[in-house]
Amino acid sequence: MSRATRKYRSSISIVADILKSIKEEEKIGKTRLMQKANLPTDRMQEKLDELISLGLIAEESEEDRKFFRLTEKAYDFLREYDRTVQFLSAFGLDI
Amino acid sequence: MFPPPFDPVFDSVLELVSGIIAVLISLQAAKARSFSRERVFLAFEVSFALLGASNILRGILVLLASLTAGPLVLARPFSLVADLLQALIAALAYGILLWVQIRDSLSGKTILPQVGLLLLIPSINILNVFMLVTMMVLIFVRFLRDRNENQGLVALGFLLLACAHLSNILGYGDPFLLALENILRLSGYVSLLAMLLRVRRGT
Repeated sequence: MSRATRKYRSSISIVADILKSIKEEEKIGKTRLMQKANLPTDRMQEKLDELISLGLIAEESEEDRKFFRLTEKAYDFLREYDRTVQFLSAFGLDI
Repeated sequence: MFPPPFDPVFDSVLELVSGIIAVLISLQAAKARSFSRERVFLAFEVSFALLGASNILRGILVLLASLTAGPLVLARPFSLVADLLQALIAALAYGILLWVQIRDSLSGKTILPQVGLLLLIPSINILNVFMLVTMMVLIFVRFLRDRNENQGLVALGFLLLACAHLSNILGYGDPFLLALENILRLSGYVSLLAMLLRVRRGT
């Protein structure tokens, strides 16, 4: 990717990408989530801890496997995020 | 000298509605800033708050002037002051919005940096033309009154400099217009030099 087209992802965009990835699959494992949200292990764990503490995602266990699912608060967050992105996009900018 | 006659109440209502819309945009930007913690929203928040405040201020000033002064002719100078304030605040607000757009384009996030620069240069030159023409007109009016030739030379110098900037806007990158721009700029400075020499000679 060239310098001109490389896109910086803001912290909130990373959070939104994670939440959207979980939303798409309803519940998702950490490895699959890392692929979908395009984040390395350490950053992903950091973000997951943050999202759990904020009450945006919940961790569940099923047959020794861990999954993540969205909370109601996360759906509200994504709606507000979409409004924020649309507002900025109306002025030709990205978040 | 004054703009065409208008209905101050109708003018005020339109101005107040515009102001409220601008404030609503500012509030949405404030909400987005609080949600995302992205500083870019602060620029939208401040600029639209300024625009809204200037519209509401002008609306109220014009309304008050029309209600208290009675005849429109008395309200007119008052509304001109309000117009000036509105234009100055709007210039500041648009400047903030332009800065956000230019900064974004120079960072290459949404658009190639060159596009930002190519648009920024004529924008600044348009501003330069307006400033130079305004100064030229003000000095020329004094020249007509005082018949001071030095004022005439400065007015001519500013006019030529304005034409140089105009040439830059009309033909950015065109070799002929680039040469014309340089000739006009030099002529403008020669006119200012002539004034300087006359001043030094005491004429």
